Amino acid sequence: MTAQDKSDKTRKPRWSKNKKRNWRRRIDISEVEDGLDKSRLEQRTGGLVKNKANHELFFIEKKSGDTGLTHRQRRKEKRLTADKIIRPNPDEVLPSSRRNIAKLRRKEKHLNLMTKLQIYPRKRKTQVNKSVKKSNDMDIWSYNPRELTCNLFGKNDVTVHTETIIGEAQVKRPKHLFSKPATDAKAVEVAHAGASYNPTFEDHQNLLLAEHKSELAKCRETERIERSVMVDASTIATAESKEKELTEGLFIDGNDSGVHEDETDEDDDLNNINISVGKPMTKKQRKELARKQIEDKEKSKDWADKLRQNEVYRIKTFLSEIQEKERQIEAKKKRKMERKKQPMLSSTKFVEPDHDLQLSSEIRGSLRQLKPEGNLMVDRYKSLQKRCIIEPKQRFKPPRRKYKVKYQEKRTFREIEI
Amino acid sequence: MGKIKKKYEAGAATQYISRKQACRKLQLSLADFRRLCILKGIYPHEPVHKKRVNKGSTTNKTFYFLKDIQFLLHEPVINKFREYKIYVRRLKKAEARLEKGIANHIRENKPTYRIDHIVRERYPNFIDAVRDLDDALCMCFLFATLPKSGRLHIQTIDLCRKLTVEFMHYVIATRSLRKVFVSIKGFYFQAEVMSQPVTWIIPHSFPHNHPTDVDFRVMSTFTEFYTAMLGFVLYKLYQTQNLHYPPRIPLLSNVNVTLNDDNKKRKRKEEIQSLCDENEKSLEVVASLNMPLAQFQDANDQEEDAAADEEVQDLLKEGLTETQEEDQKKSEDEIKQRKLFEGCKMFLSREVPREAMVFIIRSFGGEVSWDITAGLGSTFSIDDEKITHQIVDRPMNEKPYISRYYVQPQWIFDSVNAKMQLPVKGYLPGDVLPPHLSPFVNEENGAYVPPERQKVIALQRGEDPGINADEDELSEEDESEEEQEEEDGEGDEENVEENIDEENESPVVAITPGKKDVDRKLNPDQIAAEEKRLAVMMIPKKQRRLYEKIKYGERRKKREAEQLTQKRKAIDDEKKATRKKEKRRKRAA
Repeated sequence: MTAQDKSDKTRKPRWSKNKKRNWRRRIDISEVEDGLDKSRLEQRTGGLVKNKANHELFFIEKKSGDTGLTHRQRRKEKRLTADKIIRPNPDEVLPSSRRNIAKLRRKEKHLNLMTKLQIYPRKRKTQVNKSVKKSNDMDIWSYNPRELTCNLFGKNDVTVHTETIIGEAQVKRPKHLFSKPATDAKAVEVAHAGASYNPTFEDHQNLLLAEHKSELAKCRETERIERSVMVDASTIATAESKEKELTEGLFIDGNDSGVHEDETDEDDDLNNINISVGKPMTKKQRKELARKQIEDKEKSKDWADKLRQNEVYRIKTFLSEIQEKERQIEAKKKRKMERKKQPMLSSTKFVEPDHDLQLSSEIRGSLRQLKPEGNLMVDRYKSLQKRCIIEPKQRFKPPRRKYKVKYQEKRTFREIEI
Repeated sequence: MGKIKKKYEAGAATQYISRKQACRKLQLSLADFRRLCILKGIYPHEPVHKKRVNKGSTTNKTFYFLKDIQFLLHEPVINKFREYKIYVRRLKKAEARLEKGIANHIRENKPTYRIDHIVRERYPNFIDAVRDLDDALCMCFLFATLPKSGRLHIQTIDLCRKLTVEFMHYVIATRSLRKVFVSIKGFYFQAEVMSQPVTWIIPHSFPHNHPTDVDFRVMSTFTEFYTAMLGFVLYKLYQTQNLHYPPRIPLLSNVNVTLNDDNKKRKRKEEIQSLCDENEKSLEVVASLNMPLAQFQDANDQEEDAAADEEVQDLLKEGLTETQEEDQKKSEDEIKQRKLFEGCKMFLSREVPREAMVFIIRSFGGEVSWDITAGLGSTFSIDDEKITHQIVDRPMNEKPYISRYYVQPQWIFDSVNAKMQLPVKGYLPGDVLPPHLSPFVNEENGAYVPPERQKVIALQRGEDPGINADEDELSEEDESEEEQEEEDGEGDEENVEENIDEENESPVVAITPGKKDVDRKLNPDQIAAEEKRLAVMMIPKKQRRLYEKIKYGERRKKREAEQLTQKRKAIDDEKKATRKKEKRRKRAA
């Protein structure tokens, strides 16, 4: 055994040579790769060292090697390896940015030949966009609309003819589009007189009052919502209250109820027993009762009939009542119609913007010192929405991520390890 | 048995189409669809029976008329949108492949589209476009002041600026400006273009931050359409006035006309050259709004025309009905207003907003200039003896020229709104200005008229209301009170009537000798009143209620106005009293 062990140690590990995998795993080619890397680097930085002559590699130093630097200074000048790696090698020839050199050479050759033959390449024309037919005549109202479209889009006679045949030429703008959506709002609503840069006292107060009122209404609305959403803390079930609810009626006298329990139960039973009072009715009595009941019923019916018949004389009153009610309904309808609601054109409701104003302390009363208020872009945008030209919409918010973002190092790039 | 009717296959459900469906039908992305709708003027609509349209659901969606969308299907610009989509895709691909040459080639052939036919289609008549000018002008004036950014191309800004300048030139040439209102938001203007009122707003020249809750893409699409529309409208407007389009200044050398000294001239020229590039010079001079534009026709001919017009008008004056006479008077007022600043030579100080002031002054026939270094286009210098007004917006102690008025800019605005040159007193530099009233507020019959406005109305009538007699009031107390009473009397006639009534209320118990009845019919006012009373009596019961309601409303308004005037009077009195006290105290001290 011992002899065998010895021989095992000295023997090279054997492996089957018929598998590519084994070749890849077993053979250490790092030495070769290092060598290749080295030679590539040499090639990049001015050719292989082994092919160079001695005078290319070495030079005779004619000055003294002393740089005149102290040890400390030299140490200061020393660079970290990390920095050295990053610094570009001045000898290194960067790979050519020109791609496909063969093609370029071929082109050059071709060009040379052409110049020799005195054939010059035609300048490539940029494609003229037919649609952009610039008409100097800007008077579009002097054209027939159909003609204008055909001119603009460069439609030839065949296309125009075909379009006429298939009825495309007859397509007209729907008539309702010539009127703006029905709203009272003007295109430019001039600011309130109180928004003048130097307003009268009354106008300014009126503007402030109007704005104050609208602000109050908003506050009231938010308060209302808060109130309706609020939950009274006392109404929330606690463990204690739950237990109380579950044991409701079980222990009437609190803790020491064990003894009395049965007694109370007995009492309840006694109370619940139905006890009939008096003697049972005789047959005669029962008959009498039935007759009386029928009589009463007839009497009441007669009375009701009489009343109803009497109502004939109240026809006028009824009529007026009905009319009154109808009038009320009509008025309500009218009021509803008059209260012009801003139509809902999307899921978002249009919100009337606040008036721009300056407080009394902010008014300067001079054009030079004027501090402008509000933003015209917002004004225009809101005005378009108010006039139902565009639909109101909320600001776009990017959707929330469903999953967390993971960070991973790219396989093609690794951090430099030193 | 007939076929079972399916739900939502007839009626309201088939008349509307949701936005998503519309996009799918047109094969466009939402952004493209939005742009198309804005360009073509297609608006969303709220259906009356939402549940029926929305197939049972009540969620709020954006709906369009199906007919509108079907109409959109025929629009040739859609194809251009698709081409553009392909262009972007090709360019991206080429750039990703690092194919520079191909990418450049693709970029050179970027598909473009024009919307002339859409403008023509949306505004079948020229006057329709003029009526819709408000929006276009506001948008262009706004975009002309915006800074260049990733979302806003410099070309758009330049185009907007060019169009606005051209429009202002048109207004100046036709002298069609009517109203000015300086608010905290900006300058509101109203002009009469082709006898249509056109209102627009110019923002104050301060940088504004970009709001976050505005969809900028939508706004820039609107601007795209409005710039196209405004271009065509302006061309037509310029044509009607025989003006060159694009505007041209006939003689650029005019800039130096007023200077005699050669040395100064040269210096000036150098300064002008240093202000801007030679290429931009002509554009900048046009943008300064300070030169008349070149015309096709000789100016003399036009003057002759104007003279002929006046003659015709004189001839027409004879034999007009009352309403026509009123119109005539109105147009006369207008002519007078147009010549408001004619013969005035104004000089603007540096702190005054130049463009707006030049626009206003020149729209009423005035001449303007400013310091040569403040900007291009000034025509005379500050030392010109013929200057009548200098617009100053800061307190001044020294007034180097006695021959001219030094006034604050508000004098210009208020004069324009009053349709007459107001007295400069109260507008001098350092003065506390009278309030700037909005000319867009129309006081209805019987409504409250603030005293400042009353003064202006009195001035317009040619009366002297004693403006700014505050200081005088203190020294000559009794006189001022009398004036006050007079003012009130002028303000509303109702007051006078009431006073008379009060006097009549306390009858003297005595027998007076009777007077002979004067023939009432001789007094035309009384006859008119009688007739009116009879007419009121003849109103049927139904309409009388309405009449009474209207009358009641009027009375209420009058009452409110009366309350306000009382209030104002009380405030004024209090002020006066305190001032008097102070003065007395001072005297005592």
